[in-house]
Amino acid sequence: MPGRDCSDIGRSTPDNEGTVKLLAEQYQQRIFALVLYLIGDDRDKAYDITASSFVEALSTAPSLEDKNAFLVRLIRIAIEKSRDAKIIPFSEETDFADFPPERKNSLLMVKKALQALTFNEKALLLLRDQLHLSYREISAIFRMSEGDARIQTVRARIRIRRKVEEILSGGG
Amino acid sequence: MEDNLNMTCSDIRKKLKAFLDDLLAEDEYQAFVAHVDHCKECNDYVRKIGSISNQLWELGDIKAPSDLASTILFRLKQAEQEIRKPKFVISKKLGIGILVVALTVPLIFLGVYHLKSRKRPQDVGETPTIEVHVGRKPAISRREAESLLGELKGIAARLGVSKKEKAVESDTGREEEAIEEDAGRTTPVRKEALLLVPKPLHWHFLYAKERNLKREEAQRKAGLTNAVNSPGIITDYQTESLLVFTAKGEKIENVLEKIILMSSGSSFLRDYTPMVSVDPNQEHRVSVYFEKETASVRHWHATCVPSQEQRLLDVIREESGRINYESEELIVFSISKDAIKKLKARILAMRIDFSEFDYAESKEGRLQSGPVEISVYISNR
Repeated sequence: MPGRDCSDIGRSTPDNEGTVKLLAEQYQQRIFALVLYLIGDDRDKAYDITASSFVEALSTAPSLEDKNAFLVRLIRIAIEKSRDAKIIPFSEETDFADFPPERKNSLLMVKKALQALTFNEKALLLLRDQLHLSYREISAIFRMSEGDARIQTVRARIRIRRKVEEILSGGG
Repeated sequence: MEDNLNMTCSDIRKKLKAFLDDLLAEDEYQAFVAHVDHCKECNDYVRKIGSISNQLWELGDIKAPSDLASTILFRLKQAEQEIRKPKFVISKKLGIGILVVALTVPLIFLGVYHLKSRKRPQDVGETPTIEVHVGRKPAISRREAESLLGELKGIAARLGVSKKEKAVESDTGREEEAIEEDAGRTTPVRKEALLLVPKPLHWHFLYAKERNLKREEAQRKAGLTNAVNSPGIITDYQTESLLVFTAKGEKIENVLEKIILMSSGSSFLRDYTPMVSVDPNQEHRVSVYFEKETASVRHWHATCVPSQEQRLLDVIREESGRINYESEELIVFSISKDAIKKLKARILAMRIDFSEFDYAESKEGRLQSGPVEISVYISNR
């Protein structure tokens, strides 16, 4: 995940504005994307959830020395807030308007298939395949065993593949 | 990260397939990701592969709004200032009490009377509720009273708490309203949502790909049912399309082994269990759907938080004609064709994750008259 190595932060406390700004800039884009794909086509809501998740994570963090612990806390908060939000299906408008048509269609297909998954399935896949978290971190976020995290992620991957196949065969 | 886990560009090419299949050990996975994050050439190379995992990765490239970081800092400062403000603390309960009394005093002077009979506070559902009793001879019209009620509900929704309001009528006509804040209500729901309740095993067994069964396909279904009809395995429910049995985990593994040997692999068996922890020494229940590609089993999956389950079951009982089988995770019922649409609409209105595993428009489905049997597998999210 980009910017996961925050060794340049060093010793930090939540009062350090520079540290906070660095963390926000390093993680905001990934958290925003995660929330958006969890809640659907509501960028304003995703913006609000992302911002409030950061505020809550930063306000309650004892220190920012353990970057991984902060990230786990941040993602857990963002997922909890997203779970309560109303889910809006994605419209066909996409952020990838500049992409070649074939690549754009392929991404749209995966996006459509993602929408058909349950909330937890979406979250697991996005944490693993988009944010590249370890199963240990995923298990800490969902408060389940690593084994279960792995099994459920694999199942979610099987399910999304089936959905993509359905869409390709015209059944989606 | 230890040096011996740093990957080179050559390592990336060797381990690409394993990465895409998520088969790397964790330390290798993290080393792979770390290299790809920093090496543009390898990043482009990996991302060229059009796997679903890569496309999910690519979906994450959307741009966040440019002012997000500054909004975060601003809100954080606001939050800190709130903490540092000199505190005249009005507790949430007191604040809500003052607000509601301030709104209802005008109602008293407008001559809204509560019913003489006391009404028990209603149980709080998942949405805030406020009761206002309107007497037989209101001094304001019913329309005005309903409008005021709507305003109160809006305030309650904005406050984001669930309330119980008890109206007490005293002899002098004064009213006392006690408001209880059910502040812990949402937290347990969230905890339930995060805790995954284990559900018994749920399989789909594709035993026939063609309408005219080949011999081996007929044997496949017989093979599974024979494997289940053995000592130590109890059949709970069985029809042509559904088999539910209970057995200790080790017996279930024996059944699986037989299926694998019988079908030269497990490709015929799909496991939809949301959470697997098969303890060989504990009993587990397994529901198996027999499927033919050309014919459907009316079968739905409903995924919901535990607090929604009872409502879902109640809705199914209300709309269906007869319950044929019910267990912790599975309900099988008969329902008239006309009622199916209404039932689906009610389930969807509950905002439950809902999937249909029927193959639509199967000939059998179209020809069938009379009640339809549907099974719903309920799992927790």
